[in-house]
Amino acid sequence: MNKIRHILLAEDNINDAELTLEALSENNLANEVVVVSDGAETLDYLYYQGNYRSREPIDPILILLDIKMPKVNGIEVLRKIKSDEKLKTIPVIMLTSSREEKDLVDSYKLGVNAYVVKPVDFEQFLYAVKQIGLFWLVINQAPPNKNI
Amino acid sequence: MDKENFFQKRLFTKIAAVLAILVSSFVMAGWIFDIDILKSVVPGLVSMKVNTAICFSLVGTSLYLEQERFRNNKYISHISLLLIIATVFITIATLFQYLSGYDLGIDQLIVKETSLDARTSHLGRMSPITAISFLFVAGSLYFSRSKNKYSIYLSQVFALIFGQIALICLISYVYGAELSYGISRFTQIAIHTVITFIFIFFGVFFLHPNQAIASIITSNHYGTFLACRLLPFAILIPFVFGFLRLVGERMGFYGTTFGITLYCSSTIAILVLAILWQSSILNKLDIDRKNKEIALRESEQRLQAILDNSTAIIFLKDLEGRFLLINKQFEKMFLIARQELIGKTVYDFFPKKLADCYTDNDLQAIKEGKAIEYEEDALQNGEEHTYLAIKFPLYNPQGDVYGLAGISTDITQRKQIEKELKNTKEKLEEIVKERTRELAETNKKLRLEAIENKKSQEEIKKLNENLEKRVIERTKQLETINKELEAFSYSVSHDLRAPLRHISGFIELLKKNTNNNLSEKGQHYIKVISEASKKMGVLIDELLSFSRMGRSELRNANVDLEKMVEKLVKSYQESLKDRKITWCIEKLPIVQADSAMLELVFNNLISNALKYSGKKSETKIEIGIDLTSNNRTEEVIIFVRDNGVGFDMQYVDKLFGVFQRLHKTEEFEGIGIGLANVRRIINRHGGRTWAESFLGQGATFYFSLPKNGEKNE
Repeated sequence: MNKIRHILLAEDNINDAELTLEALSENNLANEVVVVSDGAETLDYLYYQGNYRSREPIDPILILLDIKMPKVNGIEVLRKIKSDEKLKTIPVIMLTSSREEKDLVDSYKLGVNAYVVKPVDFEQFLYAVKQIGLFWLVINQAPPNKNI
Repeated sequence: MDKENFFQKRLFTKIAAVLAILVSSFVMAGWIFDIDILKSVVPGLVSMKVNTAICFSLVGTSLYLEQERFRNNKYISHISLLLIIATVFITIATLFQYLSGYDLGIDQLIVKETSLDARTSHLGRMSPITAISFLFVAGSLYFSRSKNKYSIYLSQVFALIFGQIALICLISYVYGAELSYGISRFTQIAIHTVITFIFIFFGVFFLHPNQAIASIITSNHYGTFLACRLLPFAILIPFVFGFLRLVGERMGFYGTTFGITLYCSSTIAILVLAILWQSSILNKLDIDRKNKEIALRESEQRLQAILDNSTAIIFLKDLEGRFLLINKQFEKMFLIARQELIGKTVYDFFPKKLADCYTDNDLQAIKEGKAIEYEEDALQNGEEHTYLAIKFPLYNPQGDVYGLAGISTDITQRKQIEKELKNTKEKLEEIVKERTRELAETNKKLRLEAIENKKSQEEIKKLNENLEKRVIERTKQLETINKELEAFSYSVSHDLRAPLRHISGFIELLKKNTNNNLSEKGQHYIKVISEASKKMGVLIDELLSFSRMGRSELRNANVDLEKMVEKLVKSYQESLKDRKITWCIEKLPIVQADSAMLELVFNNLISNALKYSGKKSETKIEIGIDLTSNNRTEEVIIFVRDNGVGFDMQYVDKLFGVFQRLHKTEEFEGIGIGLANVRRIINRHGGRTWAESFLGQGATFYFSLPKNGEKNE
């Protein structure tokens, strides 16, 4: 059976996570959203480590990655993903407050699929996140899940 | 040959001596070979006897030897005397025969006369007149041998006596007088005997030409002059006129008395004329001489004046050192009168030491025979003076030294000056030496200072190096701080934004969830929260961009300011359609700058201008170059002017600060970061920013850009 693949949201800030989830929910998508609170947890999740040792072996259809996270930051996580043959095909979108050029450039060099700065204005934020969901889950053809 | 030499060489004597010997020789020859013409010259006349000829030979030889005698040869002198004595013998013997009537046999001793002629009383015997004449000749010769003045006188008187006898005989022959009385009874004198006697007279008379009577004729005095010119008249005139008178009388032109009258008168006339003539010549000579004397005296006076007015001391001395002449200066200097000094020597009034010195110098000058310079010291009024003396020998016309002349100049003062000069020179040399030494010391000091300078320079260099090190350290520190600041602003941008987003997000969610069920007050609160959060978001963004402006690198390129401004203005015009705006944009240059940053500058300034003139009914915005700048070659100054509300110049300093505002937000929106950004950007380009305004009369904002593109980083 073709199970609906989930979205992985790495966000240390609960408020942001909630707002993001709220925004995504407005798209009425069927995809589940898994929220991890820092970089280390993100990697645990992706490599079936720690708390996620026995999770369902399905790769996320999309990874939304904050940059500024405790322990391991988003850029490091991105580097790991994109340098891993199994994971590199998964679209990764930086969803961050940082407008820093360095972050932007680094991210693209590492092979990020999109870079979205979280707008301060909630209306705009809502719009942006809705658009991301629409594009990457509806319009865009995701790569096949190798684990299946 | 002049007269003097003629007499001095005793030519008369020589001629007479030679002639007497020659005549004697011819006559002897005539007797030996019996040639009448040699015996009596004119046939019929009385002949010269052999003894006469012998006597002529004797006196002729003696005469010759007498003048030779002046060579001081004793033998010659003796022989001459013997010859004189022989002559005396012969003549005395002859006279004895005449007086006593004895025949001593001396007359026919050598050659025998065979026939008596009319004028010969005894065969071969010389005439008594001849014998007497020979006696006088011998006497004259004898007396001439003495050096005694009177003896010479006597000798010449004897000569005059036999000369007179010869003259009588000669005139008798010429006039043809017959001596028929007294001695004329005896043998007569031959014509060539008479002539030879006349010659011998001259020879003997001028044997001592400079002495006694002869000197009257041979000297160079006026008397001689007159004698030489009058004697020919005295001799010739009576002789000639006597002869003429005789001839005239014989021819029967006149008688004896008239003849004598004629003779006397004409002789007187001619002699008087001759005397007058010669006297006038003598007068002329005398006048000449007198004139010469006057001239000489004048010349002497001149010389004396020169001598006396000379400041030098001048003196003449004879060879014994006796003063002959001194000048006035001499008298003055040594306080001695001329009369006292003449004839004295330097030893009479100078210390011996000095006098010796002078005498040595005198003798040397005489010895050298030329002018020599000496420096001589002299005591004068008890003071020591130095003289420069020029001494030279004096020569008489014969070329012999007879004295010495000296010219002494007082050079005491000169010496003193020389001495002073020498002293001054020495002093100067000392000073120069001193200065040189000082200079050397100064040089040394300077050199030391230079070394110290070098040391201090090295220290400065070290300090500089230290400073540079410290600057580098500081820079590093600053860089670290900058990085920290960067990290800080990064986290601010990230972390401050998140809560804002949350506030705004949850407010929206709240509005949605309550479905406008909130009271009016509640809705107002939500609105205020929402707006405040939005405002905070803008603030954070601006702050971040300001901090980024300071950190990001400048990307310099040629920027055409005019195009940039035009583009900006165009972009504004769209949103300002309802405002009445006049744009005055001058020609703007192309500059080296970061295009994006300059755009931000103009954007800020133009938007400010628009903002603060928004309340005017008509807006005027000018953008251009300020040409009043002092250093236009180094920078370009651009201004943006509006006619808006302007600002109070009191707060001009705060204008460019971060978050500084001079107007209330209610009046003009904005957060006060625009001009801070402008200043920051212009500073980074190496330029300056300033502003001018009057409240209510608009504001002008200036910024400068360096022309060489120098950066102030």
